[in-house]
Amino acid sequence: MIIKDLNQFSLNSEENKEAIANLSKNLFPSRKEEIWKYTPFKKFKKINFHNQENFKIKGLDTLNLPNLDGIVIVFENGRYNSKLSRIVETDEIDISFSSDIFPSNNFQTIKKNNYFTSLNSSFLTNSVLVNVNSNTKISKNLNFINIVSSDNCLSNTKFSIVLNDNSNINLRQYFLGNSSISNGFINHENNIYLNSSSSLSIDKFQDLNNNFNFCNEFITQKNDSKFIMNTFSCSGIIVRNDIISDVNGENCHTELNGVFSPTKNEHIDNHTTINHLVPNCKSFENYKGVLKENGVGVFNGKVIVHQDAQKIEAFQKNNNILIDQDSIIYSKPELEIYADDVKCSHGSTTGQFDDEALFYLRSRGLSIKKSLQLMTLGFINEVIQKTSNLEYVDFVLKRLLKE
Amino acid sequence: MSDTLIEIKDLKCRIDNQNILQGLNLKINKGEVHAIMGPNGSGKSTLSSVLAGNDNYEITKGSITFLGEDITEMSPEERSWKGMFLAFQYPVEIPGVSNINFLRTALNERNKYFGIDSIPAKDFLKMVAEKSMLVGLDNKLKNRSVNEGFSGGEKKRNEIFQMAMLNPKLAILDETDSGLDIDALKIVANGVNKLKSSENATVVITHYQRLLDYIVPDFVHVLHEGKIIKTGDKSLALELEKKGYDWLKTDTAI
Amino acid sequence: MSYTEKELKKELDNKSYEFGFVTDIESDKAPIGLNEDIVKLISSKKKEPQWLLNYRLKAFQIWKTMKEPDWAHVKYTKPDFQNISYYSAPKKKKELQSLDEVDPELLKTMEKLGISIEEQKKLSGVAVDFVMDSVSVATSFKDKLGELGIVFCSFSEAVQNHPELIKKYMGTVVPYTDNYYAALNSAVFSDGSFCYIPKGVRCPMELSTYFRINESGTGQFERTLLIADESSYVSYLEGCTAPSRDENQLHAAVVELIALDKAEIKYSTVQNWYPGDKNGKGGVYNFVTKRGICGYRSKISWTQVETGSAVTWKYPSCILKGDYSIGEFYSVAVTNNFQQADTGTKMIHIGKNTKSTIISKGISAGKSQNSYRGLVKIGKGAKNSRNFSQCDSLLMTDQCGAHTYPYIECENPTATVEHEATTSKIGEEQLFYCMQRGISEEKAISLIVNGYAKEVLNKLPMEFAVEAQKLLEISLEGSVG
Repeated sequence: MIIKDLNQFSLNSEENKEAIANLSKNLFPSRKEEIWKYTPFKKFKKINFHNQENFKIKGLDTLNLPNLDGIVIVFENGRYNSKLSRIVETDEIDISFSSDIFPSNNFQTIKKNNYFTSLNSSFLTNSVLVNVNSNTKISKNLNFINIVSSDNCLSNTKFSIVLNDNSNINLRQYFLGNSSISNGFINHENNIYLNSSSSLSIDKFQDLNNNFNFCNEFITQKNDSKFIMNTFSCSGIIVRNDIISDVNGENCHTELNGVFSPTKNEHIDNHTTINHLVPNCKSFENYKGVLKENGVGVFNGKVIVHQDAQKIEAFQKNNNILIDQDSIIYSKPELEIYADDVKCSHGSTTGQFDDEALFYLRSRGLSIKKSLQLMTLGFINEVIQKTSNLEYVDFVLKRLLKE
Repeated sequence: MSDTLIEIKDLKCRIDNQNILQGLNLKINKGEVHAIMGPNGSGKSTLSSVLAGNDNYEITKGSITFLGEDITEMSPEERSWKGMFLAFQYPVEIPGVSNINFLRTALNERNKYFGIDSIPAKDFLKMVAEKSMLVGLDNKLKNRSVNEGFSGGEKKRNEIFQMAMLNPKLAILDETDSGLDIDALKIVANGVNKLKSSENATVVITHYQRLLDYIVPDFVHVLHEGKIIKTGDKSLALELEKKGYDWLKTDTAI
Repeated sequence: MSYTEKELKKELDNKSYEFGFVTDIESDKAPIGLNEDIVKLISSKKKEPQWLLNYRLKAFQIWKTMKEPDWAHVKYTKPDFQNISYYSAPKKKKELQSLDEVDPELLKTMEKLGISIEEQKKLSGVAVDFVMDSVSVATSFKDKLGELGIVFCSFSEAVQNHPELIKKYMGTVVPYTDNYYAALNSAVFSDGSFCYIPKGVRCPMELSTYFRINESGTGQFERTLLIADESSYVSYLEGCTAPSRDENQLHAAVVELIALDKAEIKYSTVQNWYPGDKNGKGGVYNFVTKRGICGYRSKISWTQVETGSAVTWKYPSCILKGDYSIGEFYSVAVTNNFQQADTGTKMIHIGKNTKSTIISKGISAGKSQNSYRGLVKIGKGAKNSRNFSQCDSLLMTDQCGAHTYPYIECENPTATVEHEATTSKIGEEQLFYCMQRGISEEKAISLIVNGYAKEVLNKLPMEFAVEAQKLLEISLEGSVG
């Protein structure tokens, strides 16, 4: 394994100033634009972002993350933190760091840039590229931890991964905001490329507390590949995920799942687009929203079946539970179908827990709080059980249920 | 300490402005089995719901004293901790929550209330194995979501299994016999009988005498228009089977 | 419905637009173009009071500042608003006392439409208001309705005879600031229908309006205002046709429904504007704003069968303001050849315990694009509100598109919202089964499609259900690729 170009990046201070000016001058995309309609940009107002190097995390163990026995890559305040990271050399995987954006010829067929991807590219501090060699199966998880630990710190980071033919890996991504700080902002981009017969599953965990996190994610799949992404969004002032997946090879399996549980005026925004460009593929989407105490959730899922992409099966589901007064959900499952021999469906439900079930649980001795927790667990179980590791499930559940 | 487990005095309640129970009196001692019978709409299921603390019903008068304490205003979970158990006529399905997880949470919540440590996983599983034998509950069902996709008979067995796990002082069986074939009925009744002791009591709410062949009551009460209009021993149930309820209704009219 | 072979043959021979004939009536047409003078001209031709002219002028000012919306999933050449005549009336229009006074050419037109007023009058007892090139030319059954206090007349007549109602309600549901086309309509509307059902009256017959664009180079801008006073009931039907012309004609209508407390309005539309020819040439641009507002315990039900128009942009909506009010939307939209439709509804729940149901069935054939776009909004105060939506799409060829864009905005945790949608191809096994039993492919498709759309068709009044069924069949002819 080679580690190359490991250097520190300093921002051009003039550009930096301009970026900060832009952020506070509200040069954001307008909320009149359909895809930004529900995102509360006003929460960015009056925040002066900076980007200074500042490592504060004392040790990996202070983060209390489950089973970090594989490779661990830690980014703190936008920069690679080599002290906390643990990279073991193997023949199976190459990891390199640079400030360059990932070679574009490999990537997205339909890459869509937006304000935040431009911001990311212009002020990128560190980027990591993982290359998984052909015919390998990595048994231990690859862990990517991206943490903001300074007030008002804006970190622009990029994670790219290429799975070569017939390779297989599980990735865990953590986006964390230190609970003792506020107004930090991780503006992240994931670039993911799956070659033939490769398989990648990502468990993405977002727990930002009083900080922001935007993730723009671009995925390309070649034939016979399998991609699963489970997104668990627990907290953050605004957490927004924009996933664009191009399925560009036949016999692919694409699966996007998620649980989001905003509370206390938090806003969690999930946007997904699955582009079925070729025939004979299947995609599944399942997002569950649990909203309470003024929490606001957005689900906007889009499946596009392009012309001649016949025999596509695409299923999209979004279920939401509003637990108490003033929680809000905006759900927008969309289908755009240009081929006729397809099976596509979507469903969206919003409601509350059944009173009768609540009474049943209470009559068995469960307090209201416990009953609600248990019902919430039941509600999100379908998605949670997609991850097989019990320790990880426990960890995620505790944060999602805010126990 | 007295032998009285529960005492209901002049209980009146309503739902959606409709009066259901209209002055009900009932006293149950430890070690007793009571059967409550009555025509449709007489208030049998309401009584079980009110005893378990369903707040859809508004208690307008009267009191319920359980183990010497007025529980009229008590939450359903606290009643449960103190030893009240209702086997539901229609057990509720809770998708995504496994039976096992559900019961463990229930037991631990009770332990917490009494300041007892959580039950260790090993002991819990041993207990599950033991108690499920009682009603012959299929092992697979224990790991499935609570009541989801269970057949009618499986749901009723699951209720008795839960009863065995929670070991209540007062068990109210609300039409537990409905929808059961004769073999399932025997299994369920057998389970209930095994749980009987001198320290607990059982209330069997039923339409039919049939169940009472297996769970033999000490007292049979007839409920009509929200009141108990007649009390007798098990022979009353047989008489009701033969003559129906009408002869009693005319009695009250006089 | 039973079909005979003869019928089938006739229909197959007659694949082109059935209603694409031109009526040769001398008409009084305003010069092309749009400016303040034209707005004033329209107003003065209609002898309108000053307040109405002011309303038009304000709308015109606003319209000039607005941009034509482009968020819908449709592509078309934007109309040149300066190249349209904004007023065209059949010239010999006088006060018409009876049908005998109607221009015989016009009567012929109605007969061709299959809705001969006389026949309608005799057979079904439907009261018909006939709007041709935006001007109402005949209203039947006026006297009989008058006995019940029901007002059913052209919009211009209503302006003269019931100005207080117009003044009170016009623009309250669809203000002229609402959107581009609504503003345009508010500035230049020429006529339309008006209906008032008094308190407690159950309108004994279906009220019906037929709209037709006849003159070339004109736009049709009619307004419908329907007021159902407390505890009243009315069922209203609207039908639309236009001649086949190579150019694109513009139809930008506004419909406002007001259901006061405990009133019920059932509004059905069979829209069959000229869809353009097989190559996508010509056809009507149908940009319509339809909306109703519900009072306490009232109900508005929209049913639409949309088979026509080159481009459709239409979202009949309900504002459920009163507690316990109900909104319904039942729609079948068929697109074939190069047609494009972006249609759906908005259900805005404001009152407590409000309920809405949306059933949308889209059928795409040829190279058409068919989109469902619908909003369900549960406001903060809309406690215990319920919505159920079901949007299905059926695809007939590999060249067409079917799209679903539901917007669900729930701001009250006691509400329940359910949305389901499916997209699939017409069942090959079903087709084969039918054909094996000796039913031709065309017929089989029509059978299957009718079955698929049944839930919606059933909501139409009897005589229209039959017509709508036929329309579906005609629009899908030759659709299997």
